[in-house]
Amino acid sequence: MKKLMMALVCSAVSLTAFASGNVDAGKALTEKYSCFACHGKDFKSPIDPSYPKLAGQNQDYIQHALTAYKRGDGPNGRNNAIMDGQVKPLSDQDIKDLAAYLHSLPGELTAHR
Amino acid sequence: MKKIYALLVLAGLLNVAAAADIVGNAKAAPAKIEMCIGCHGIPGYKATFPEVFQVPMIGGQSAKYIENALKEYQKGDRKHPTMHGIAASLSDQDIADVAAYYSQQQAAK
Repeated sequence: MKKLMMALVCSAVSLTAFASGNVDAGKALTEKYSCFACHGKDFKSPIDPSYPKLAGQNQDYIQHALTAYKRGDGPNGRNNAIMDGQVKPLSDQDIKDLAAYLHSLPGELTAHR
Repeated sequence: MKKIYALLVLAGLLNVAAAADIVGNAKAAPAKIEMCIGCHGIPGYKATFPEVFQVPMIGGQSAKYIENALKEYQKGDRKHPTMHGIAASLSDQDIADVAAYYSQQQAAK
């Protein structure tokens, strides 16, 4: 019984770790794919006001948005000349890592009335 | 030659007039954000269709980005049924007002 409990606890922990993405891996990916070139070095000062601030944005939303760009013109997708190209090489794990990193950054975005 | 100058000046004026047509007014927004606050006004609120995720924080995002995003939902370049329905009900002026409002929003103190 104890072993079973341990196994359950361990699997729960590892599942959480997987679902939450790896901040350091995400940081490395932003450098590899030069995300900062448009979204800004601190990810809250994009080079053009038509680009979003990402620092501190909700993690699962970023994951959703990147996945949507990957779907492109398909259902639940997003058409965007720049982002559709940017996300092409990303794996699902890459997307989770990126979302974890961007969410971890201090930002000025807010949700209130 | 004078005529051409006059025409150029006129064309310039027309351009300015066209660009000035729609200016976002945050003060006009309160009546227009009723549809937004049910999700975007609640920290951590999760959308459940077609995917489960926390809706984005839009307060503090730039007006131009918000405007673009709403127009992409409207046009269908962003395929999201809920946001398409909402964006499609907004005029260009509504979008500009809502964008101005949220761009000026600051983190709750």
